[in-house]
Parts: sequence; C-alpha cells; structure tokens
Amino acid sequence: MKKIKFLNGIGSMFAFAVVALVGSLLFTSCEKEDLNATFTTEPAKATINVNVVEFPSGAAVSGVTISADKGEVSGMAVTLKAGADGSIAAQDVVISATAPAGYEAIQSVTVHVNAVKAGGVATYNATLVAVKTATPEEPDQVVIKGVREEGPARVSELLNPTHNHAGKSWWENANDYILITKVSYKLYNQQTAAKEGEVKDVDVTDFIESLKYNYTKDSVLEMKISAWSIYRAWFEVYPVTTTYTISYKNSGEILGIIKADALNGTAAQYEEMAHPSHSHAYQHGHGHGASENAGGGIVLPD
Amino acid sequence: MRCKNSNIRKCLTTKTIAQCAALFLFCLIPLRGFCQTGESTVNVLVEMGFENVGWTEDDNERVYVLQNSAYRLQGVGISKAVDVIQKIGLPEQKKCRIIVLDNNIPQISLYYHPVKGDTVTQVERNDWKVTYELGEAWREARKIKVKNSSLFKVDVLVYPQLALRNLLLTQIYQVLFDLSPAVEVSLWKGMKLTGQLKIPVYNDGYGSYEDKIHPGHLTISQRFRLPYNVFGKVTVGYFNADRYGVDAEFFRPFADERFSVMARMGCTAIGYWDGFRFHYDPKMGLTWTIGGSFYWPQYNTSFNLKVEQYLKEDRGVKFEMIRHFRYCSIGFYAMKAKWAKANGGFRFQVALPPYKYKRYKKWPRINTSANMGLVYNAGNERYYYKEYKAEASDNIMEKNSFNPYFIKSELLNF
Repeated sequence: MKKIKFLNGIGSMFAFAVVALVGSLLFTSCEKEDLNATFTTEPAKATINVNVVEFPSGAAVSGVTISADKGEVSGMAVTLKAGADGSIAAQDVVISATAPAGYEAIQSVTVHVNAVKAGGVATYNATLVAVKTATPEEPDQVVIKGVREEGPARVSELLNPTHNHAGKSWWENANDYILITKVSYKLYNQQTAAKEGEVKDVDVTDFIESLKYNYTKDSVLEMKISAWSIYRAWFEVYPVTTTYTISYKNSGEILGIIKADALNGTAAQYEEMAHPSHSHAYQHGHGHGASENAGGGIVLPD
Repeated sequence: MRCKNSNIRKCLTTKTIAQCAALFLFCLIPLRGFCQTGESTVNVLVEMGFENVGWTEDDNERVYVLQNSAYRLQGVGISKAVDVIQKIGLPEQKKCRIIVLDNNIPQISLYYHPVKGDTVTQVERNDWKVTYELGEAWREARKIKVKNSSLFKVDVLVYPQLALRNLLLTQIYQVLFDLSPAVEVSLWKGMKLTGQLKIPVYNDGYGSYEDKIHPGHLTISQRFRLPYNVFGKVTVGYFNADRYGVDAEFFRPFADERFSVMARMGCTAIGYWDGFRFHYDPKMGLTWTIGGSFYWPQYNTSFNLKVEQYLKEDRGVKFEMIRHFRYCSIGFYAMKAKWAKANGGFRFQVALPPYKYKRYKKWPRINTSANMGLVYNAGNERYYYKEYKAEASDNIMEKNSFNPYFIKSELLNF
C-alpha cells in the first residue's frame, strides 16, 4: 500500500502538541468587556412596588392612583432618586392611595427604605387595603387597620473572598484594568399570612389568601470595579410584619387580628477601596493606575 | 606463443578495447568524485543536525541551502557548515554559494568566488562574502528537494521571564519570575505556531492573576521574503502586554547593507487572562513604527532611530544603541513622546545554554529558549510608551542573528 507522504511528516508527538494547544483553548472562556474606559459608578436605585387589595374579598383593586411623599411615582411604583454622591440615604416613604369610587379612604403605608450605596439596587413591596363604603344595610361597617413593623436586615455576602481587610471580607481586582462582573442574588418578594385566633362576624379567608404570595426570583447585580482595588458585595433582605386589626368602625369592637410576615424588601450593593498592596496604583473609576510610586525603576522581561 | 594473423587481430582488438575502456573509466573517476562531494556534504551536514539541507549546481556555481537548527548561535552554526563545505564540498574552479534559511525563508548567502591564477589552494573563512543578496541562485535553489526538513518538528522551549519593579517606598523590589514553556512548530514554509503557558514560580506584588497558570503568547506567524530584499512577518494571536490582534513588520537593507529601514504596524486590543478565562475588550487600537538603522561593523553595534505610536496612542521618537557580542546583546535606549516625560534605560539579551543540541529522530525537542533578556525602564513610566512583543521569540539578539556583518565577524573570530 502506498504510504501517504503528508502524514509521514506528522509525528504522534506533533499531533499531541496541536491537540494540546487546541484543547487548552477549548477549556478557556471569554468575556467581552470595556476594559480601559473611565467610568463613574451608577447612582443607586430604590423602587417600591405597590398593590391594593380589597377587604374582606381579597380582590385586587384596579384604577387606584398612588402618591408618595418622596420620590417619583410611575403607575404602581415609586422610585427614589439618589443624592449628589450617587447614594440613597435611609428614609421613610409614606405611600398613599386615592380611593376609587365606592371605597372608603385607603390607609397610607410607611415604608422604611434603608441606605443604598452608589451602584446598589433595592426593591421593596407594600400592600394597601381598601374597604368598600358601608351600605345602609350594614349597621356598623367592618374596617381594617394595618401596622407595619420592620425587622433587622438579614445580610449575606459574596462567597469565597480572597482578602480580609478592616474586619470585612473582600475580593480583589489586582491588575491594570476595570473589572466588569455580575453577581447573582435572590430578589425576595414573598409573604405568608394567618389569623391570630378567631375572627368574628366576617369571613377573612379570601383576604388572607390574597395576602399570601411568592414572587421571589433570581436577579443579577452588575458591578464595575476600578483597577488595583479590593471590592465586596453583599445582599440585605428586610423582614416586615404587618398586623391587621379588624374592628367595627363605629363601636370600635375588635373582631380579630391577621398577621402577615413578609420578606419583600431586598437590596444588593457593592463597594471598593484601594488595594492595600497597590494603593499607589489605585484611581477610582479608572482602568489603569496612577503614576506616583517610589521611582526605582521597572524591569520587564524582553 | 605465435599467433596466427586472425588471432593476432583479435588480440590486438581486445587489448585496445580494454585500454580504451580503462582510459574512459579513469576519466570518469573525477566526475564521479564531484557528484559525490555535493551529496556527501549534504549528508554530513544533515548528520551534524542541520535542517532543510540541499544542493544544486550549474556551470557557474554550486549552491548549498541549509538551516542551522543544531547550534544556539547562528554565527557558530554557519561557521561549522562553512568548515565542512570548505573541506569536502567546494567545487573546483567554480563559485560556491551557501544560502542560509530560517524557517525555510532565505536570510543571507555566503559567497565564495575563486580567483583565477590564485596559487593559494586552501580556502579560508575570510574568503567568503556574506550578504543579504541571493544572486540568481535562489531561483533554482528554491526548487531543491531538501533533506531533513524542519516542517512538523516540534520544539518545546522554556522561556525564563523575570520582572522587577520598585514602586513601594517600603520594599526595594517586587518580583515576578515565570517559567513559560512554549510549543513551537512550523507547518509550512515560513510559518510558526506558538503556544505558550506562563507558570508562576515566584510572585511578590504582581497581583493574583499572575499567581495563576495562564496562557502566554498564542500566535501564528508567517515570515516571507519579497523582491528587493524586503523581509516581512505577519503575526496573529495573543501577544504579551495584555494585547491581542495582528502585527506586521518589514525590514529592508539598502545596497550598502550597513543601512536599513524598518516598518511595523499593529492593530490590537486589550485582553488579559484570569486563569484560563479570557477578558477582552473588542476596541482595537493602532500602533506603528517607522525607523532606520545603521550598523557599525567594526564594533558590531547598531544605531536605530524610530518614530512610533504606542499603545495609548502617544507618539514619540526612540533612539537605540545596541552592541552585539557572541553570547549577548546589550543596549541603551532613550525616548520622548508628545505628552510624556522623556524616558530611557537599558536592555540586554543573553543566549542560554545549551549551545549545541541535536534532535532525536522526530521527537519534540525540549530546550531552554534561545535567549533571555530584560529591559529596564529607568523613568518608572507606567502609562506612556507601552509596547508589546508579537512573538515569544522576538528580541534584539534574534533580530541581529542573520546580520551579514555580524555573521562575517563570527566567521573570523570563532
């Protein structure tokens, strides 16, 4: 059989070399980024999503116009603006709603928004309860009043930090370029509800069901990190307990209590600082280092 | 014994024929000796480790082609080949030319022209003229079927790489030392595929990315030689200095081969490795160089003046003076860009041992890199004047390895 001359030239070791080279490339992954621009950190964002439910039917009430004493209202959401430094300070936001025709005045809700650093994202949820106007057949209207109480934030951080500094855990971006990366976190929006003991004279089953929901989903925090820095990211979840007291409007007789426990506020934030070992090279918002250094020379392999 | 007439005639005829045949064969012997000399010279050179070896001959001259792959220093290797050819391969009363290849691309030729009436029978190295010119020989020589082809032969070269910097007031130097093996192989004439890994051995202050094994140079290059002695190389892939893209460079010596011009252009973008994860920015930037060079043969020193655009699109002028010795090249440089402070420093390359090596059959050859070198940035400039190196093997010593004046100097002094 005639030998194939071309293949004579290819030793097995050569083939191995080519496969090794190609194989090493197959095990790589690529990320496209803007590595050398100057950037400013995005201003913080905080959004409060509002929904209105009817008592005692639990039906969603549409056609409601909401307002807030801070921020901008768009549809059923309130967006808070960041300050000049890009962060949002801790504040209470009072959310009110104009009752549609046939409904009593809707009780406003106060949502406590925690501080958010520049680049961070926070989402809250609030429920307003609307009660229909009493009819002549009802001797004493049943009304509901809610009191919202926020618990301490539950904080979790990025896993597997590489550095410890100033009592916190950090990751590092130890090179000349901006790091553009994303971290996943859970955006909590869930609530459970139950009556405490017996509720007299009114069927609250449907209302309790309307207070239960679970829209928790995965979300992503995008981060831009300066060159020669260390950074950390953390996530805060805010538990809220709302106690609804059901009573007669005129006599004030309490008919029952419903408690709703929610995890419906989440904030994802990050911060950076100069790398402790390369602070001479750090310049916030830049993809390359500053030029101040000890000045004794730089040697590169040639 | 008396022969009758017919028998005598037969004897005479037989004897005459035998004598003629002997004379004819005797005359043929020298011709057979010439043919064997060329072929046997080639065999000897192949045995010594030279690659792409062949020869051809016409009425005018004998031409050898060869590539030095057995000696670290081109001057030493070429000298050894010249000695062999002088000893057993020179044609009688005919010109002889040796064309030296690099990756199958002709670089220089060594030319011997015997002088008629010259009574000196011993040819010496001094009698060879070294030049970029190939004469008319290459037209035929390129068709030679060569022995011991360099194609598909794998070299694994380990590049030691040392980086130092004085940036901290509290520490003299931060140090990074890598051993970076590279697989290099040529698949067709002029082509070289390089795949390098950077393995950190010691890292103090160069960041966590340098702590990880990651790819170094990943390139495909194509060398070529155009008419009018224009040498070119195009390289594509991932370079050093966190760049990837395409790079092209050209070099042309003048008729007075001490003078030459060079040009280079690169279209590259930022890319760096986090282990084996590649972060890249698709925005390409342009760098270019135009320059001239003068080579002072007496001291094997080259003077280069270049106008360049660097990676941050800063443009400037660079002057270099580099002296080439057998085992090292050392030089100084100074540069000034438009918005930057003047900068300068020194650089050197050292040829690494072993200085002689042979390939065992077709097995990959594991060796140190040809050279190791450093460039010192005296001004501590970290923003301007940034450049990259396209191929792992590019350096000031490698660029001068086929300089005809340098080769002639090695022929005379080695």
